[in-house]
Amino acid sequence: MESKRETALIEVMAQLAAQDGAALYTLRERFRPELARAVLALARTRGARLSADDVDELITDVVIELARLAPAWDPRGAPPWVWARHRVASAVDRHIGQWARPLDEEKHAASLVDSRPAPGTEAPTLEVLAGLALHHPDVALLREAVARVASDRDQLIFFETAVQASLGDHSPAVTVAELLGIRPEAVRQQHRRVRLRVQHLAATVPRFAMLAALPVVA
Amino acid sequence: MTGATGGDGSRGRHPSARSSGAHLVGPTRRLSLVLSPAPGPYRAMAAAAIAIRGTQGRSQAAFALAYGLDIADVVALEGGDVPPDQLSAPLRVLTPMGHLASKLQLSGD
Repeated sequence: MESKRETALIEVMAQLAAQDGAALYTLRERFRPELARAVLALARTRGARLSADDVDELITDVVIELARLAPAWDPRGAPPWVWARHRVASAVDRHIGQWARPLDEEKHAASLVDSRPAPGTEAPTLEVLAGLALHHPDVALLREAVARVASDRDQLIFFETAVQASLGDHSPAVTVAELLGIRPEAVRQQHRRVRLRVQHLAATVPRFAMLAALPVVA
Repeated sequence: MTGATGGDGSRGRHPSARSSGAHLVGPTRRLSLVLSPAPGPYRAMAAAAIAIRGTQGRSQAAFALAYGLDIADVVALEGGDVPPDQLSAPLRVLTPMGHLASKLQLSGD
């Protein structure tokens, strides 16, 4: 059964698909919290801090992108800002790019001397997940769910522990504790708390329901 | 209780509590760039009308009904056919349409 909000979203997306320009403003006004969350979540993965004005501007950019895609949106699927997260990401990246610090040519030249990664070097887990999320909706959904219920540090604990366990580590909490400089008990406790919160989210919010079947959540 | 304290919601009904539409100037300038330009000569009025109707989340029919207009009046307004000095009284008094239109500087105006 659809909630009032879902019905309103379907209506406004239908108006956008029918080329009603006023629906741009409706989407912007009525779904500002969801759009702002999508923008801020993306910016967080890029390590960018956005002001209220930045967020406001980006919401408008995202609305324009969603209006272009409105005819292709399927109301039975994810909300448009999740379904079109690549467009949200592009809008955020364009904005962040505008405000990037100028390139330090000297440092850049020095970094080119030997920029090949050393053997055994791995990208940080959250960075790898961010890359995977661009191609796999399940990963994007899991990241969104975990980001909703956990602080940045606890997200790291949760995913690092899951990665270590999947690599066959019999004591992932010990490994993660050593990596992060905290006690294994704290790792176990935080990992369990985040897992339970995601389970609760999967049980109460329909669009996260599929997460309940994932081994890292179950 | 009197309206002085606003406990009965009177402050919200006072004309001074009405939005000036200033918060819509930036978004309207930006969003009007992606909309087809109004065919009529009063493009700022058209953009302001679309912005206000959209912000209220109303269809043209619902917007007309809310302000005691005909749909044709709304279509004319959004088509850029209504000059600022001919804006109907309900829209002039109850919405920031005229103010918003005067703040917009759209190409073609």
